[in-house]
Amino acid sequence: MALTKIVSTEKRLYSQTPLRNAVQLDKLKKYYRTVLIIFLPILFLTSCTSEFESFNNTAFEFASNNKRIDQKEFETLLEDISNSAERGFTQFKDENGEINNPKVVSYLLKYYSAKNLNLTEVDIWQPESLTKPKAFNINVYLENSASMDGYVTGVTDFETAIYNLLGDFKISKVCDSLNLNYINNSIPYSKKNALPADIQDFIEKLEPSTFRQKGGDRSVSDLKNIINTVLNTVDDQNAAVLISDFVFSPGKNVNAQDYLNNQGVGIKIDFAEKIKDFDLSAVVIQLESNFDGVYYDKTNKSIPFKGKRPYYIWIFGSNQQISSILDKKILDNIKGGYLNRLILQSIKETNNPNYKILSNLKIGDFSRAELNNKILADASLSKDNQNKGLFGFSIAVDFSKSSQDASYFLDTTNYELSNPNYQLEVELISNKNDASLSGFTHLLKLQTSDLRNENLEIQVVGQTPNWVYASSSINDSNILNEISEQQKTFGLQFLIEGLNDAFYPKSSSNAINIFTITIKK
Amino acid sequence: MEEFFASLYEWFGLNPLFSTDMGDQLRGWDITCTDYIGTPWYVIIGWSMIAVTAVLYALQYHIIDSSRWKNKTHWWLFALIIVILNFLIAFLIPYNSIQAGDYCNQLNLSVSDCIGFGLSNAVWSFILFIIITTIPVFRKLSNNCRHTTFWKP
Repeated sequence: MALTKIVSTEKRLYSQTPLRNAVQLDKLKKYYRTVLIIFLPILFLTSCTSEFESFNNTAFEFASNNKRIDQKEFETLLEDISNSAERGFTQFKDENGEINNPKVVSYLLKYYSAKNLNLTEVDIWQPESLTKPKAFNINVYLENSASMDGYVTGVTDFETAIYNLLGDFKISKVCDSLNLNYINNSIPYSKKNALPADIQDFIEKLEPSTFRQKGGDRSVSDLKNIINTVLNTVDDQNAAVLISDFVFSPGKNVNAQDYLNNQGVGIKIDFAEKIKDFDLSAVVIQLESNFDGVYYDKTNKSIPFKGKRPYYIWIFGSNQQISSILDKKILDNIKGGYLNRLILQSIKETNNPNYKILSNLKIGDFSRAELNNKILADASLSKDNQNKGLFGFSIAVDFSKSSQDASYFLDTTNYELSNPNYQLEVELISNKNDASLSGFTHLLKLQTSDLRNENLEIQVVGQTPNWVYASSSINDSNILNEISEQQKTFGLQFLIEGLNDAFYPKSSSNAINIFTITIKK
Repeated sequence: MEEFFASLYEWFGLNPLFSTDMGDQLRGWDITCTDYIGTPWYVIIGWSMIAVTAVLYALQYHIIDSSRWKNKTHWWLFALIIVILNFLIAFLIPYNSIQAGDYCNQLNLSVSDCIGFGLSNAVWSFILFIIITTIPVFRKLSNNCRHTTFWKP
């Protein structure tokens, strides 16, 4: 009983002394320390998500909701980009720190592809270009020399294609006024600002009798003069379309080779003069049509011919006008399609398409560390039996923005390498599901046994494509019996070479695109 | 910081327990195979290893801080927990990325890479625990474990 009293007295005293407060304070400190020790690292770790990671997560959330990115969402993403200087965001900005929208879209598409969200470019809202292309007049010149009669006898592929092309020009927003003309040594017929009914009338009257009726000197095709006449009509307000078989007519008692050389040089000079003070571009399309009429060979001998014959549509205009026509896919929609296409643009500055070095398609070895700076570091030759002593790597390139045909970039003769010991192979990227190749069109595979420290320069050069040589003839006198000759055009090579030499003079580098890769052993 | 942790986990280039592809994934080689702009796992896992080891050290030496938990056996028990936790963190994070396909498809990653990285992380956490419990500067603040190390008492 006495003991109980003592204990309760101690308890009472303890509760009334500062000792109690000290013990409680000690406990509180311990709790506080525990909380700090456990939660601070957690807080620290949870704050480790980078701004770029958070951008990716936001982009993923936006897209997974409704499989599209609307204006508000896109603008939110742009805001994230502009507010951060993190390394991941630098790929979206140019040298001035301005955001490049196509680069953002390209990255998002790659990212969504890697995340198995199948979004396409149309699913992502993009601001419209502030500089809306200006409409311009399109002057169409149809050559009506006698050699063209065979293309307009009855209903032909030629008429269908031209009707289709003119219709598309008329309804396109790029065309201000469509002017239709016949041309030979002069312009004997002209219809200004043709309406749909005029186009129909123009096509329906495409018959040899109308050609004759419209007049002019139909006996010869002086192509140099025709081209020069059309070229002179081209300016910032006017683009021109020239439709012809482009068969030279040297005539009797004339040395055909000399004639072709002279015409080629003349065409080159005319174009070179124009390019000097005008931002000129040219498109040449080769098409094919049924032909029923008289073919005039190099000596102007008439040969009745029925069968398929090539013809050409040339389009001249400023870079902007030609880009507008190409962007509208007007040429791709020509009924019956076309055989070949060549685009020539005056090289004011080389534009470099987006490209990257692939880290997996390689022979030998190199480090990924500086791949983004286009540097192959620690490069070494292969040691495996299959590729022993070889070194190779691959570049994915996006040529989609180029006006040139995709097939132009598949031809390795259109490339020049600073180290000729490298072998180049080019192929189209067909696997659209591979996120690492998403946004790229061509794969350039390079291989060498001569590995050294260097800046390897790969140039895509502007030159006459191989189809021109395959389609060109220098002797058409036996066209009736030689089937291959029927698919060719007399003197085409001289014509296109003249044109090509004007755009890409042999004295300069003529590089359309340049890729530089630094190789460090 | 990234290069510090990278050289740590790759054992200063001497004998990494995982492939160079795994190293690139941990450096942050992104899902679109463009650049090192993905999650910098080396840094995150490196700091988490330090944090986990520090928390468990604090738990034994300063929070529990009991005379019943001051023997070397208890030190080894805590060391085992630290090693297991750090192995699991470093193994599971890349393993989950592989399972989810959440990495650049040009990298050849395998489960053995994840195990190798897990082991590296576990070994470094063990070394760190030895260091912070061997030097007396931290443990002398403890009331009951001020003499506890891996070899005594």
